[in-house]
Amino acid sequence: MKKNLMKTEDISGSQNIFLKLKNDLSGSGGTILICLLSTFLLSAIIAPAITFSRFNFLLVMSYLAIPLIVGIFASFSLLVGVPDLSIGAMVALSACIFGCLTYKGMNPWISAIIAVVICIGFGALNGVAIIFFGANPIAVTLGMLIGLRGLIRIIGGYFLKPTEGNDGAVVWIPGLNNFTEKVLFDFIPVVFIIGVAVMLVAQFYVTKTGMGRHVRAIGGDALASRRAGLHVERTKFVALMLSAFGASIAGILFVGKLGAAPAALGTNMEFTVYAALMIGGYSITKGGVGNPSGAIAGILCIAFFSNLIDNKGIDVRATDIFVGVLLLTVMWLDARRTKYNFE
Amino acid sequence: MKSKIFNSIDGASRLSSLLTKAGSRGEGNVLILIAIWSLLIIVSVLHRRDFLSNTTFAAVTYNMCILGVLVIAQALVVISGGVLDLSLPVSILLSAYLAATLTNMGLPAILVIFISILSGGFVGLCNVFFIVKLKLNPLIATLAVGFVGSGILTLVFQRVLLSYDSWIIKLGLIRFFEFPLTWYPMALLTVLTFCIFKYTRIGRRITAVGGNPVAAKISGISLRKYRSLAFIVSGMVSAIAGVVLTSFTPELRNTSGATQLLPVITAVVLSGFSLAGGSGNFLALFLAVGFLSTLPTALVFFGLGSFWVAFIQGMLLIFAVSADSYKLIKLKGR
Repeated sequence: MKKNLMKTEDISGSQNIFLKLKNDLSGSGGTILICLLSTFLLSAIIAPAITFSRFNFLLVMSYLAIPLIVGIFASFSLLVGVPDLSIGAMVALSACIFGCLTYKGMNPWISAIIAVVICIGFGALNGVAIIFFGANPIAVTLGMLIGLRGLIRIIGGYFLKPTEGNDGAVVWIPGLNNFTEKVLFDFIPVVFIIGVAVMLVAQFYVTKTGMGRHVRAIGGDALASRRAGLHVERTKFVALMLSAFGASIAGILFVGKLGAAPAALGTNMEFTVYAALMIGGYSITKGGVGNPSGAIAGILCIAFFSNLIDNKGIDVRATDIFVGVLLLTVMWLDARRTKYNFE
Repeated sequence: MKSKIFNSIDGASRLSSLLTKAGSRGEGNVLILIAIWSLLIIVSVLHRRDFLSNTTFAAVTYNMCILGVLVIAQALVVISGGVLDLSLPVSILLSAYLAATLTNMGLPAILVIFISILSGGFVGLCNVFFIVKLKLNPLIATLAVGFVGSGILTLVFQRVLLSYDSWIIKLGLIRFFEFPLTWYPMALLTVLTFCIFKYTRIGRRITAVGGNPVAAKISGISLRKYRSLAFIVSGMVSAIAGVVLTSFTPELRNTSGATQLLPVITAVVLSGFSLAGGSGNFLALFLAVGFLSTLPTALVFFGLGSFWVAFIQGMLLIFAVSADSYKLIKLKGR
């Protein structure tokens, strides 16, 4: 409080730049930057040779490109105050539908559209339960998560005979694969560039446009927003459908990248994405805070972290533990920052 | 499109206002549960006559033994205002793992059960640290604890084999008047919890902490103490379920018990335990457990595999949670 007062009172003079810098660094933007720098430094110190190699950079970028897209779209639902825990399952669902239909000979574009529409349909189902019935979003999306995981297996079982692969369709789409694997300048995947472009559009929308301000207002205080005349229900509904849409696109891209649609795709992706978003300044308990540039910073953090674990050869199963501990730490920092107290 | 949604909600609202009136009297949920359970059994019997057989009865009652104990644990957390305890898979698996390994090491039965139950209390203590001490959101905190715990357990073991000679497996096979032996303690525990919450001071205080924390705090009831109590006891109760699980599975895997979380939450919500805390009928839990234990077997009889069970359970949870909050909205008159 005191710092802010000092900031607004002192408007003149260049000695103020240090104060301004100090204020900025102690805010949420600062903590994100510090997180990012410390993960990168940690990685650089522990495994310097690999960290700075072009190959590693490409690896990290291609690893995080698709979750980045999921994250940007899911960030809208967090911004509006409705966490959606079913995004990982939706990624797998869209991959499964897209993979199975294309495997059976359907035109890839049509099966892509069908996959996206079905995912958005389930997103709408989430919306109906959460918004029209007022159910707890985490409970509902948890049910959706597990329900969809079952549905994926059902669809896989329906389309594929046991000999064709128990795990999911294996379908190689050369055009799509070229697109997802395309790399510019030898170290930046095209998909990553698209993700960054989406992030920039989202950033502009959230910070600079009136509608973006409405979204943040609804997340911050739904009751006040409704009284001010904003369409709270409609915005929340659209946000949920958007996160489903992002997940469906990611699922299709995964099929292009992997050449298969494994049933276990995107398992626990919701946790890594949400941990990333929370590092980036969003809050699960409180809507209306955070913006997409924080999302990309958070995802970079997590990506460097996982990359470090990979490079050091630590057991893959241990990454779950790291993500869980990271989630708890970030939650605690977030709670301190937003002064949330479960009282 | 919106009007279509509103029309269907209108029809549902008429039905739900009927149920809400019954629900505000406290008997609504019991009636609904009896109705849907009977409906399920009738429809399954009509579909295939051999649904009413010994194997079905065995499958259902075995399911009920574990589920029945777990719902009590979950209900304890829900009624105390902890929203949900998503770390349930960890408390079951940890206690099951300890029970199995300690039995294999030859420790006496009493010690095995004692240590397993304590481990559940330990998981509860972890939850207490994050929720009561650090004051984090209980839903995400228990989710994260569950995540970390499952990760650790996955690293620690792949599977534990128990021989059919061990006392614990023999215990799981005993049947008393056609019910598994462990069914009776489960029923007893349900009745006991019901009595505690209806007639004792501790029960009333925990309900108060969940229902209206502000009023409870002002009345001098320590929120921290009773919330901690709820989580720790809940952990210990799920540890009991873990021991029962071990007695039923000669080959314990690190994924055992993971499928129980969703039916548990569904049962708790269907029994009228509001996720906002402070209300719920423990006897209705029994009926909900019965219904949800019959569901997987019924689905098999309809020719649907285990993945259909997961899908339907997921959709059922969404439906149950939605109906529960819709009832709240109607009562509050928003």
